Amino acid sequence: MKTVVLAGGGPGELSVLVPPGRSKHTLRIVGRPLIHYPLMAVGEAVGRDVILVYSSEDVYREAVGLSSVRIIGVRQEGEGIEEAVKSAAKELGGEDYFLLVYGDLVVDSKALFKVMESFYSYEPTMAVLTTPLEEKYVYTYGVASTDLNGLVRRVVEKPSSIDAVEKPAYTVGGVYVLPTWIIDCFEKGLGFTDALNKVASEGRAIAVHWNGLWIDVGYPADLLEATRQLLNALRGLHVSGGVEVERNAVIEPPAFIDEGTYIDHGAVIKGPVYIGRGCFIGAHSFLRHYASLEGRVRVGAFSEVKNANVQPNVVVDSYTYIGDSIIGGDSCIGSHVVTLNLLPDEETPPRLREHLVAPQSLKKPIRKLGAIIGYGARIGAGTTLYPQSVVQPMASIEPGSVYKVGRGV
Amino acid sequence: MPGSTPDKPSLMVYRGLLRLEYRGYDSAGVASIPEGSSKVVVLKGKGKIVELEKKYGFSKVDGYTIVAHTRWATHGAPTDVNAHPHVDCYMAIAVVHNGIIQNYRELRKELAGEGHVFVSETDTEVVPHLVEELYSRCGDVYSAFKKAVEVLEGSYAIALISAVEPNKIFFARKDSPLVLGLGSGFNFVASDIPAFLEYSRRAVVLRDYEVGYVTPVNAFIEDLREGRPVDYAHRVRFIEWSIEDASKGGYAHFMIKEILEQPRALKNTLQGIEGDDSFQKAVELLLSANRIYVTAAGTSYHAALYYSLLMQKLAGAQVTPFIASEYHSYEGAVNEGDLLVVVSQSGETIDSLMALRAFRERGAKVIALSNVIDSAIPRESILALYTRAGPEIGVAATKTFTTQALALAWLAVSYALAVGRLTVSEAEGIRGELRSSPKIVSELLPLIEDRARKLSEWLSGKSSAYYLSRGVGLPVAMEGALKLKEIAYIHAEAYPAGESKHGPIALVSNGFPVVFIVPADNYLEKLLLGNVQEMKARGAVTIGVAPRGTSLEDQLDYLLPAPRAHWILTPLTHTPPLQLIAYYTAVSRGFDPDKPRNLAKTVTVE
Repeated sequence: MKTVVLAGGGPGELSVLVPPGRSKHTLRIVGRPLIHYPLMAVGEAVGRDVILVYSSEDVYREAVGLSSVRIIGVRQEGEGIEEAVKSAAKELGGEDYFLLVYGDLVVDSKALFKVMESFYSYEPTMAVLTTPLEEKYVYTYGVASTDLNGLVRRVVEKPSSIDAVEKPAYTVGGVYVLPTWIIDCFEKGLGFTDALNKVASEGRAIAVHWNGLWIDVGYPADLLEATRQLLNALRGLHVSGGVEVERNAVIEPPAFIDEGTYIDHGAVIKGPVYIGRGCFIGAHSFLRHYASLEGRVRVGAFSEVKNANVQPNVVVDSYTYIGDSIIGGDSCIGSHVVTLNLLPDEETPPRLREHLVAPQSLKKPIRKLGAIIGYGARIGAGTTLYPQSVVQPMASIEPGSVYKVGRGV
Repeated sequence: MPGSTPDKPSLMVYRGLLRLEYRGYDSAGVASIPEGSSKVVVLKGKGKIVELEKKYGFSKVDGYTIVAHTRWATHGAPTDVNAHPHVDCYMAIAVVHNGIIQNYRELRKELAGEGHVFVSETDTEVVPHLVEELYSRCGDVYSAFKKAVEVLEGSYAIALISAVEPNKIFFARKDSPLVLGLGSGFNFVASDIPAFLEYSRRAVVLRDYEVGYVTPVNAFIEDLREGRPVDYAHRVRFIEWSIEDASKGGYAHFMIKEILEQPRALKNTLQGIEGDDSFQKAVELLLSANRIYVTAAGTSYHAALYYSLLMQKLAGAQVTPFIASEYHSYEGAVNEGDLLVVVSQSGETIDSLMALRAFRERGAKVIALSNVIDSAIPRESILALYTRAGPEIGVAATKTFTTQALALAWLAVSYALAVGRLTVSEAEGIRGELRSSPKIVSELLPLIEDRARKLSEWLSGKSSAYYLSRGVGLPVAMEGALKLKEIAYIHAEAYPAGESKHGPIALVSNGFPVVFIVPADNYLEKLLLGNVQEMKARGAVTIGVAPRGTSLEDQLDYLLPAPRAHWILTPLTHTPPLQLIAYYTAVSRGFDPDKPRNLAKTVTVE
């Protein structure tokens, strides 16, 4: 069976983070471009050639950098999943079934293995990975209703609420074994979800339930969640060659510090933390839980970073606080900038997971989301950014501003 | 020689071994007779089967006659040497064994005196040496094997191969399960059906004191006590489970698979109940009984307790529940005309079996409720009722508890109808609720999975918890606490909520988790409100499994909503959330919920 990984299409809700001519699949999470995660899972679970459908060259370039799979690149023609699968059709050869994996999943290889295993042992017409339903955010996912035997009855794309679907229902996980004839349905103009429902009604479609690592990276909050879950798996202290740590710095594992990074006196790094290549961590700065800095990020003296996904080449000046935020590549954040992160009750950003870790009350857990800063933006010194404010790419914010524009993402 | 097999024999055996791993999992091994060899080849060691496969290549061993074993230590620590199979001095005989040989010390001493060299600390190792010794005297493997089995005391299921007669597997059973799987051109001997289900659906469940051997083309069974061959043709059973039933399917763990397939297990159980008259027969036996007892161990005891509560509440009948291993405190009052209901998932639980035998000796009649057809407890009972949950492989009982509760609720309702405490329409009304349980549970599960998972992240940082409830919720609270203890290793205790202020509340301080199981019953809800408040007042974090729209909602810090169904369904609607909490807490603490330390699925040791 051949594997198709879909990594085409636009950046969607992540647009402020993705420069023109690039793809959201090359956004970095804990030291790797997003596209590596589904490819690594395919490599471990299936381990064969992968047909990679992409729209922009950077995805292909990053993908071939991964040695565990052999990439057959196919440029996507047209838009939508149907067109993407059609683009891959000529590479599928005469096989009856293919494995389809979305390229924006951070997923355990075991999930893919389970799909394949179930497919071979039940011999259905189609196998669909399903994951636990997040009641609050069903409107952002595909949802599959199943029967008592785990057969898919119907797939609904982004239902308005949980009441709009027949239960039992689960989130559709973006990993499928599909019959090759589904492509004929696309040729006839059927949409992807309609085609899935056609297969489900005419044949046997099994739901393969997976409750381990699985994040569909579609919204800014997903980047934080993926960072968090990947860092949760980090154990011990890894320090690569050429890292220079001054005598009075404190590093509390788990932490990963990559090549050529410099950590100045008095810095406190309290894991789980990831620091990419060639970073500069200034004196008395404080990097704590779930801070993830990609390559060549500079953190000035006395600054604090926590639960943040910081893309490459970002400069964070002195005395700045970055919490629960996503910082686009090449941006520059002045000194004394504060990201406010405590969300008011009425604000519910899509896909923001509640983590009930040491809460004041389980009933009303504290929910936090800081700023989403576009690539190449410049935030003037002394600026205060409201929770879930969005700074547009290449924007320049006056020093001393109080910024709440673009909220409500 | 051998017939054609669907896969290489060693691969068939290896796959079978994987399916039996749940029975015990501290070490494993394989022995085979390569063609033309006068010695057996043994590969064995400590660890998980998949790790050992990488190290030794169990699935690639040559030969057509193979025995394999996965072990849970009873005698001797889990080490490479103590792993099965065990061999004789000449490496001509290999043996795998489940159970305990009680007279192994004497036998070992005697055999050592004859010059036999023992390398392990296990009881099993006496078997190959004993057969070797007896073979040297009589010159026939089967006769030697039979004589050896006659000498053994204790419980055993044994499979033995010998390079002298390389195309036979000899077997014997007493008090430990053993099954033959009949294929075409190959045969299996296994301790459980899933081991060979992939290759054969025809099974013969062996009985105590049966010995014999299989060849690639036939099987011979003999009754050791009567000394004559057994005609087993009418005992061949066609197994209806599909192989998927016994495998993990698409799930990360057996436990989550079994939690999520509860609706189907309930549905099958209902079909089983309505499809035969055994429940009606059970009611007749109950009606003619003087006194009624119900006994079980572990999770099954919680189902038993629920049953006794229902019998008092619905039928006004007194039913005494007791924990099986405590039977000696109760047997003194037992007379002829009394009745014991024994609940055991596996039907092989030794404590329940001992209680059953003690009661039967004093003249009591016994009804069994089990999930395994033809297992020891049903066989020794006057009437056997079955849940149809399918094989349960996760060590922590999940779907077997809810199906037991369903079957026992049905039994209680039928009894209440028979004694006139319920009218026909009332009984039908409740039965209708029971019939709707597969649908109710199937709608419930997806809605609570994510909420249970979130809560578990918090709970995994705690070291203890209370589970409180009242009435019909109490067995559920006990079950929830047991689940958290056994797989997440968090100390959890269940109490009747009213009892909590008579002591347990002393431990409650800021942040202490207290889980309330709130049945859909206005009276109990009102009573529980006070208990929730007194816990909250002491800083406890209150978590509730409660019906939607409960009046307790604003008092609970975290709510897992259950459907507002009839109160009798409480074990069916309120247990799955607790199972999910335990499962996800175990996972987030980094433990394998399918393989809790120090626990075996079927407790066959007193």
